[in-house]
Parts: sequence; structure tokens; C-alpha cells
Amino acid sequence: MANIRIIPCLLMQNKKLIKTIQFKDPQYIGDPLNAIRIYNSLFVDEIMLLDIHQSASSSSIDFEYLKILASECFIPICYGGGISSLPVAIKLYSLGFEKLSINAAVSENPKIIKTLSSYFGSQSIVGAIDCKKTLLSQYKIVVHNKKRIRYSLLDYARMLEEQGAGEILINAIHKDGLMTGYDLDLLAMLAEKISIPIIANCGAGHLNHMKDVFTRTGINAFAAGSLFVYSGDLKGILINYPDRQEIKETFGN
Amino acid sequence: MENRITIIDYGMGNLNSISNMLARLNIPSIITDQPDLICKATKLILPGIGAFDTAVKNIKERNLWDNIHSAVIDKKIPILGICLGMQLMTKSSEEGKQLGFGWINSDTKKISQNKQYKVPHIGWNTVKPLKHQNFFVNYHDEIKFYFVHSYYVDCYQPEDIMAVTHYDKPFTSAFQKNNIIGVQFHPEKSHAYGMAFLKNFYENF
Repeated sequence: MANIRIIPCLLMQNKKLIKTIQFKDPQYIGDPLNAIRIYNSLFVDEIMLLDIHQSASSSSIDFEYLKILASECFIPICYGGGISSLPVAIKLYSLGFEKLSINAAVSENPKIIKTLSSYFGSQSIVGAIDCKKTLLSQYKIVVHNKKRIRYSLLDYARMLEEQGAGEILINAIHKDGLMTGYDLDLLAMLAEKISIPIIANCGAGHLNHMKDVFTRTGINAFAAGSLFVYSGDLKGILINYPDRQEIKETFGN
Repeated sequence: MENRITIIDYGMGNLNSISNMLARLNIPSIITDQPDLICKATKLILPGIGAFDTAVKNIKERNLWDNIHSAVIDKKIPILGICLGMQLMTKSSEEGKQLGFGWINSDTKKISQNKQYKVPHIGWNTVKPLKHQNFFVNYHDEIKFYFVHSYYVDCYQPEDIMAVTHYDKPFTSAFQKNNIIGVQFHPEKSHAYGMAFLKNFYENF
């Protein structure tokens, strides 16, 4: 089944699970600990936990709380949000987060990916990119701290790869929460030039949307938020995950 | 002495993930870098994530190398090597210049990168057991574990191979010889599959 990875992406703000639309209008979903327990019992491939409050502000990370979350997780878990230095990363890693997602910190400290990947190895470091499609169908990188990024999207992704990121997470803000499919053009462009694994994020409303990306780009890692916290047309809140059979049928054996 | 698992701390690897899972299984464990505790252990886990040479250096700096070797070879204490811990049990690694423990007739080699099979090999993959079937449970019609690695073990003695996995080509995902087991995958991150594996290591090995 070509090593397909399907990853619930949990957005956390003040210890609450939320879900956004185009990175705005956060809706309260539930308790992160409860969600992590349920995803564990559903045997999900991996979990991605992004503290969007941390990434927007520089207030300190609540390590005690994250320790509780990590200790309930017997599957791979990646944490992102507010990782700005090696000591912070070491502390998170020791709690049981074996992957760390680095996003805004790169604009403050371009060497941080290199520092972290030489310490932990590339496999533990995810370089995350938030990007938005402009009116002219270009892609621009968006950083919470409003710093300007002088790279084009592709050059930025290449830079993360060269610095030692083991994977690249692509958040397409304009697709977030819409559940109408991933940005195929964006992913195809990156997949062609980037040789490390890419994790597609934002837009999944159905497993077939993942299949669309896989067929066109060969990308085999898919993160999704809404798909795994909402159910039905009315978007009732229900933590869910497709069963193995459904995944197998979608991607073929 | 009480049967408990002693997790060797040499400053590399996600030790809390292992002890979290053991705690969930009600298996007593300690994390230590003390040579005397390692020599007196009933079961050992040699974890590890990171670079081969750094690991060898760290183990030697902590005065653990000869102690671990003697615990495993002279005292025959059962040991489980995980990921880099498994690779340290081989004779050498293409990742570094240092020699491994060399307990298993095998070498650690680089996975060859291509368009379809990227390096590192990250994700769940099927594991096909060749012996010690009881270590491997079958859920949802598959046996699979979580992998994150850029190097693999080439095991030269077919009888030592415990399980194989297919990536760009088949490789040894677990080996076993006498009191030694090494696994390339991460049981501590492989929920029910990993729990069954660790429980068997504790109870039946």
C-alpha cells in the first residue's frame, strides 16, 4: 500500500482543541487529552499536535501538560508550536515527542533546523511551511510573527531540506477547513523538486482527496483536521478515523 | 531478583516513550546509566536514535561499553536493541567509523535513495516474522510496526533473522541470536503490535 500515512492534525489553543477555517474562526472541538486517547484506540498512523497559540506568541510552553499528553500516546507524535531553541527541543523530545515541527522560528533563526537536525537526526525534524495562494495564483509564505521571508516558496522548502529537515509539512492556508481537497498544483510543484517526504495538509474532506494527491504527486503522507473531528453534512463533532479496509480500498493494495 | 527491564541511558533516544509503554503494560522498569545496575539487570533494553559514532562515543564516555558487553556475553542477560540500539549490535555501520559490538554477524548499511523509496524510511510497514511468532500479533489482518531509519541491518546468518520487511528491497527488521534481540522498528511507538512485542520480551524471553 505504498507506505501511506494518514495523520490527524490537532490544533491546540490554551489547552483546548480547536479547528479553523483558512486559519481563522477557531471552533472549540474538545479536550486534547481525550482526543489523543481516542486516536490511540483507533490505531491512527501518527498524530500531529500543533499549538497555534504558542506559535503566535512567545509565552512559555506548559511542559507538564505536554508530558501528560505524550504519556497517553503509544503511536508516533509530532509537536509544533513555540520551539525556538535547542534546550526547548531537548525538553520536548525527552517527554516523548519524537518529532518536532519547526515553523516560525526559522524566520528568527535560520540555523535552527540545522542545529536541531544535527542533534536529533533529520528524522525527528519537520520543517513546516504556512503558505497562501495570492490573487495572481502565486504562493506566498505566511509567518505568524509577520516577518518577511525573502525566499520563494520552492527555495524556502529547498532551504529547509538543505538545513536538514527530515520531512516538510505544507499547510495551504487557503484550503484549511474547506474540505474540498488539497491544493494539487502546489503539492505537485513541491513534490517534483523536494526529495525528502512531504506531508500534505489542509483541504481533505474525503479519503479520495488523499488519493488524488498520491496519484498526481506520489506524496504519501496526509494530514487532515476537519475530516477527523467532524462528521456528516452538519459537521457534528466526532473524533473519527477511517478503518484499515477503507484505506486499503482507496489506495489499492 | 525481581524481573524488571533496565533501559540503558547513554544520552540518545526517546527513553520516556519506552518507559511509558512499559508502565501501561504494568512492567516494572528503570532508566539508568549506572554500570552496576546494568550488570545486575534481569532484562536490558538498548535504545537509540541518532548517529552511530556519537552513540559509540557516548556509551564509552559513560564507561558502559565493556559493562554492556560483559552483561550480554558473559552473564547472558537478555537484551533488546531498538533502532540504533539494534545497529550497535552489528559489526560496523556505513554511517560511521567506529565498530559496533559485533554480537551478530551483520553490518549496518545505508538505504539507497530513489524517487519512490525516500530516505529516511518513515512510517508503518509490514513485518514478516520468520521465528518467535508469538512476539508478533496480528491485528486487522496485518503485522506492522513504525519505522524511522536511514540505515538498515544486513544480517549474514539466515538463522539469526527473526523478521523481514520490504522497503526498496527486503531487509532484516528483527534478528535474534541466543539472549540477543534487535529490532529496527520502534515497538514503543507501534501501539498494540509494540505492546505485544515488549510483553513477550519481558515474559517469555
